[in-house]
Amino acid sequence: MNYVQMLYRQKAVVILVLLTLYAIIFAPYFLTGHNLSNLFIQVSVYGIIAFAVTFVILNGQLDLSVGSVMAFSGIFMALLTEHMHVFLAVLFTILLGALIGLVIGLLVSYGNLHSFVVTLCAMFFFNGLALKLSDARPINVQDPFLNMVGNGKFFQIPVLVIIFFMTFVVGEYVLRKTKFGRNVYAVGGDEQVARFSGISVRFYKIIVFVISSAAAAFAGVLLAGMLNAASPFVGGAAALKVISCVVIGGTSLAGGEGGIRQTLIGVLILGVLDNSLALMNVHSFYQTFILGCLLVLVVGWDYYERSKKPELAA
Amino acid sequence: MTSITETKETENEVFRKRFDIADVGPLIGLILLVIIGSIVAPSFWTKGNIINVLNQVSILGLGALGMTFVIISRYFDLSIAGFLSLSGVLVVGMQETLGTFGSIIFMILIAVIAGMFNGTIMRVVKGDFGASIMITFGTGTIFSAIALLYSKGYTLVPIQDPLFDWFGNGRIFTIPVPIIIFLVSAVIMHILLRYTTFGRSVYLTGANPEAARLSGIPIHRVQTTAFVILAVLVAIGALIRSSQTLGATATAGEGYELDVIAAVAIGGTSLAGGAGNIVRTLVGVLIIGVLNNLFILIGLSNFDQMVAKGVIIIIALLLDKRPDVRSWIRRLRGRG
Repeated sequence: MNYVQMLYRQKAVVILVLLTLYAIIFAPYFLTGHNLSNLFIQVSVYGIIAFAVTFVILNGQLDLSVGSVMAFSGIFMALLTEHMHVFLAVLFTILLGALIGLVIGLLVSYGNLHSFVVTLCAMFFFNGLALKLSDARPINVQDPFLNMVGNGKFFQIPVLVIIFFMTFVVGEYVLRKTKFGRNVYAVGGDEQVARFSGISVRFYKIIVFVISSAAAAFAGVLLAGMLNAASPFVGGAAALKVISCVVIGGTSLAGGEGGIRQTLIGVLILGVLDNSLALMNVHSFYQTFILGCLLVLVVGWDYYERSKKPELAA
Repeated sequence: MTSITETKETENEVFRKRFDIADVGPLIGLILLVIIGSIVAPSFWTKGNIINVLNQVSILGLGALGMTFVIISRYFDLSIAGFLSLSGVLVVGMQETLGTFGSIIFMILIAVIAGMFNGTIMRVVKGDFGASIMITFGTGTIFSAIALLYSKGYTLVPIQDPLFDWFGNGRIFTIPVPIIIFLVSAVIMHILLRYTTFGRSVYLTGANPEAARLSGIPIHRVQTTAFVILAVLVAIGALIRSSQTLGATATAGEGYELDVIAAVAIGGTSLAGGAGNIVRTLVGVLIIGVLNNLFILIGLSNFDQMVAKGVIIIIALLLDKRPDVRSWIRRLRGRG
């Protein structure tokens, strides 16, 4: 009975293990070094955003704009590199990302607007801007440095994957070991209580959006490096993918529960699912379908569990 | 004696509430927009263009009418974009096997099922507003995936048929059918929301679900019905759209949800639930319609429009939210 409970609590890990076993059995190519490195490269760009969005969701907010911010940042950087050194361009892009997050955060905290409406508007805003700036065409980005970051290898390990795990470690450290991280949890858990215990709720509401938008901008840079081009269309399904990663891992949409580790599991689940379906030649439409079903199931399950808790207490 | 003065006061309150700034503000905005429009673009104030505006908003308006129900009952529905694509693809795809009339009936049936699907999930998981956003985000993905699977990514072309053509391009007394469908639905929805028990229970459910439940209102049935109404109206919108554009694609609905939210929110219906009405939504829909029309008359590109809309919605919501604006106006009117 105890084992069952333990397994139940770690259901995301169980799903990941089962999925991996399924992939190993039905797609023999899955367990090759080449494919595994591919898998990790595929998940790393979305994974980096997912780690940042975990902060937002832990705080009890939503960010639907990350995809279009990512696309817009890629375009923005591509245009900047024509005029200045690539390091400066990358720096400005990430700063602009942080600024976007600041504006979203200010609107949510001081404007008292629901984060999903604000970020939905931001999504369309930056989507339109990206399309306008690029004339709806991909822009070539030929730069040795960006190419190295996007496609290079360091001791056989792709640089992207190293960056991915570095963001994981940093995120995990910040959330688990610092006052900042604890306060993010506190604000998400109960805003009122957090305010009464002297936490500046507004600061945390703003800063989580700064983190997620800056990470989205960073991901845009990485993606442009990886593809050697910045496309305005890369952001389409990103919000869905990223939020699915976070939620499927086990971070609750109600805020205050979950963490970066859970998101890593979620990212890997989605990665293995995408990869194995592609190996088995399943059409991408089915992948979208499965993703939607998974999202509904996981979110539904989370709220269902939550609704049962107060009854137990009473 | 006191009771009489009290009733008089409450009547006065009611009268004042009826003309609250929340109702009048968007209307003033609409009038300003129309004035700006007729100055900036001379062709704005022609009969052809006005009919054009109404014709273009009818699809958006149908969704906004339904969304008003869902929002008042304290939920939200992001799945309408996916569902608009799905029902468009279905009504065109099924035309060959079922005939035009049959495929329309089939589409309405699917809409009822889709609405019940959303409502039932929300009921089972006992979710709140936040849950409805993510759940319908997921179901919307499922809908558009089904649309993609059904159409295999191609544009489906409808069979030329007088009935099918009538929905998009027909005219009754020189007024296009989409406008008539939209206005008739608006009247029906207004009556349904304002003058029926169901409408009242929608408000109560949104204002305080717990109180509504305790006073014997089947809140889940009310909310599910709201989802069903929305889905059916969206499906009719999809029928009009595929008849007008002579084709249905699985991506036709992209961005639809933003326009609908914009219309409802700009009209002044609060996302917190329990308040709002059809008239406000109508004003919101017209604002979006006039804006879209002005954008085109001025010559803004599609991409500029996306950018502009994002900004305008945020500004409108901020104006609506600022409590000091409201209290300031109340003070101006001498209510302290």
